[in-house]
Amino acid sequence: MMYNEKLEVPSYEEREEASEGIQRLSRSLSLSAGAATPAFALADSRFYYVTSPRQPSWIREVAVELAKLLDLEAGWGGRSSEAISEQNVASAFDLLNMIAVSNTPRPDVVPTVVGGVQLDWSTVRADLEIEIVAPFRLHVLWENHEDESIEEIEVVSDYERLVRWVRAL
Amino acid sequence: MARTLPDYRSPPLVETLLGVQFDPIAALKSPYLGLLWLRFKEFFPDVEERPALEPSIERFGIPLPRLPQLRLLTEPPPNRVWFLKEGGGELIQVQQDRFIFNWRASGGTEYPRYDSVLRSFGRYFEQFRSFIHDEGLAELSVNQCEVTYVNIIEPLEGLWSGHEGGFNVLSVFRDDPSMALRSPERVKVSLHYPLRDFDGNSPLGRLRVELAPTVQEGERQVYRLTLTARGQPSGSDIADVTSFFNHGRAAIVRAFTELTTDRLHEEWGRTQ
Repeated sequence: MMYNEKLEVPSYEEREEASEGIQRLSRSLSLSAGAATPAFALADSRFYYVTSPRQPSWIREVAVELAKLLDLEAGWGGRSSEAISEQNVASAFDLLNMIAVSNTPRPDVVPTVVGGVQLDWSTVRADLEIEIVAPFRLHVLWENHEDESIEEIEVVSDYERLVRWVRAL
Repeated sequence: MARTLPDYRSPPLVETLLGVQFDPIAALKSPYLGLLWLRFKEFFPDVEERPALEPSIERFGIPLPRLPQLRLLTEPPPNRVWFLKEGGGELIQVQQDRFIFNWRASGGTEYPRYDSVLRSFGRYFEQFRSFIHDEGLAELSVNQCEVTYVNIIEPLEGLWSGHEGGFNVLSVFRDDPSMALRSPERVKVSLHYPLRDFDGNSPLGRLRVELAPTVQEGERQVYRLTLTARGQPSGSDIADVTSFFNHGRAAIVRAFTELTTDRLHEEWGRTQ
């Protein structure tokens, strides 16, 4: 793991109260070899956020929100609601790293009752919902307010339209 | 008219693999893997455990990702099991998100040819699917298929005797007497090509070609040439998976022929 960017260490006062989900994340995070610009790295129970010009300013806060989803136990949203899959949380983070750039609006992070994660954007131009149903499977809903068109697709390999929509938000 | 694929009497093939990756089945843990083995035990009597393979997917439409893969390991890491035939020449690999069938030359058997390997995969994959269904574990949703051919390129007597002969393996290299840099002592190459659908339009996946030096039996310097076609099938049925395998295998065989030299084709007994 190479750090070739500025390392920004939060002060003790700014440190997040470590929920169980975040504690688990900080203890067990491992980044694969070859990662050139990780969005953040964790040590002990503190967050180290490595900045990069490409990344949006909200990436760290959203990463914390994603980690907190791991605190949701089965039944969180009613009897049949499932705990949020760790793989889906990781996939949501990976997805944002791939498609969000510095001027991408911040998404809302929403857990789903089937253990998935949904990322929602609502802007003047459009609404975009990305549901991570499995690590490599996305259900995407795009509503363009300008021409009132709606498109719904499944994304596994081809991200071209999804990236175009994110850029158009 | 379908293009005929090149063929060889004695290709330098040492391993082939047909595999699928599917949406993870969280419930497919060690106890169920043990139950699964009972369905294969008669012909695959040996079992080994390995760490799970990392997920692998070919993506398009995004810049080449230089990003971390976040792995949350609050539970023990999942296992991968190998079910092996006696001698180890054929094996089945299973983990929470993969099913793979391998043929290996190290088992002492002659290469059974692609059609036979495909039939074997189909038979064992259907057994696996039945198991998943019978145990009520999950719906199988295949997200990637993979075909891999591994070749060992031996030195050619009179032409080269070790890794310095790597220049003679791939046709993309040319020996230019006017160049100052000639005859590298070792060669390592990685080539990636898009794999397109039958109409040549949408990207299906990627063809990856890797040439790397290796050593066998302690000191014999050879090259490993690995060709992998990986991508998304049109669905999860065996017909969809087979269609991708056929497409990927054809791409591999053509690439193998185009990228290696005529001299090597002679050595391997090219018949068409």
